[in-house]
Amino acid sequence: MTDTLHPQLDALLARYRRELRDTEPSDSLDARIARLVATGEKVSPRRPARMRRVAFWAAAAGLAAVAIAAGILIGMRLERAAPAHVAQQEAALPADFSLWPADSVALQIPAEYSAQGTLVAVDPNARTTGKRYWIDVVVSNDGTVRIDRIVPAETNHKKGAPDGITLQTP
Amino acid sequence: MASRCRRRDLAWLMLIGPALNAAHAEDIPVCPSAAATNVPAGASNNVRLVTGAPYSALGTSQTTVTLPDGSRVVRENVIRQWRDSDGRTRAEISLSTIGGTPAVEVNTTVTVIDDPAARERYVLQPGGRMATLPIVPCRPASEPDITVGPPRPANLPMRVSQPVKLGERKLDGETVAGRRIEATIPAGAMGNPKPIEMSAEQWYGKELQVVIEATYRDPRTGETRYKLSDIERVEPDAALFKVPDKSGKVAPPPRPER
Repeated sequence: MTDTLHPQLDALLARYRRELRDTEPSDSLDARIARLVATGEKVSPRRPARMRRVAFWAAAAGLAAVAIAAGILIGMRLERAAPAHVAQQEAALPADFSLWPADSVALQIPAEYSAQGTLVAVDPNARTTGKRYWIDVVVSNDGTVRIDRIVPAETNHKKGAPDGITLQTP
Repeated sequence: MASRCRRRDLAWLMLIGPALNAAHAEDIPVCPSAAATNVPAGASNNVRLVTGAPYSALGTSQTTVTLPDGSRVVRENVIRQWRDSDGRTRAEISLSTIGGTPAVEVNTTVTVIDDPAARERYVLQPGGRMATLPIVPCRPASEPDITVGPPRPANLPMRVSQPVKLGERKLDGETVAGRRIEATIPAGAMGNPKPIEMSAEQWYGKELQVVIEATYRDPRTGETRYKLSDIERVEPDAALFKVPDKSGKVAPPPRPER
């Protein structure tokens, strides 16, 4: 056994003594109690059960609103990001070799296969001798003349002018 | 008093005239890139407006295909072109055979007149017929658009290099800037045992703002060389930009000697 108390225990005992002294009947204690009674509602940490339920549901609704808003925001961002990603891919892969601005015109030319097996442009007013095709040609002043596509004339294609060469509209 | 008023009006006109002109120039939007519009070249109704740089020239596009037996097939298409100071253009496109698989024998001439002021494009066809299409003039972008052209098949994988600047040089009195790009279709992408290597090289006239010379190499379609020759930097005959009336009757424009 030791005769001296541990300093921490000593401090706790001193505090206990002080608190006992403070709770002894005195004018200051009465004044403190009167103050506490006067502001009892404010001091009370417990709220009525109904208020607690309202607060709970309000908090839940708030959280739900935040979650929905976050979902909408994420969805919008994803939706916006998708075409941007596609555009980026297209930009990374040039559609053609034209390196400088050029002027282009798109023409539609009716054609049929000849006996030699080559496609030959024909007059659309002439009587057809075989299967007819529309050829979409893009001519640019950078020296490129390209066949964009060839489609059978029966397909739903823009109708050509009487001589079969028309501008292709977007 | 009256003369003082007139003088004041004149001063105002002199003051705001250039501002009005500048405002008008600002009305014309910058040409959107093909990537931005997602519309292939030729299918868009945007037309570049280049003013104050009149010229006439002959563009010749010659494609040489070497067949497996070693024989060569040479095809030539010609575009005679004019542009006046106001930016009106006329192009007479003479197509013979268009290369590719399959090749198409066209053998026709189509004349295209672009009138930015009227915002119309006129296509004069053989037989005197004419088609009209609305156009939207736009200012050329300061940076080249490397995505001009018809789309390639989306499912065809292709590795494309970044454009390489080839510097500047003089060509037919025109300062031209060159760029080169290379592309590779990997082996097996279309049944090809070896990679298919392609390249394109273009020289662009900085004053005229058109391609002056170009070379395209593609083993599938051969080698195409394009050259703009007979360049004359003079105002073309205004009759060249006259459009036929609705009946389609118009006197043929004077055709310069080739």
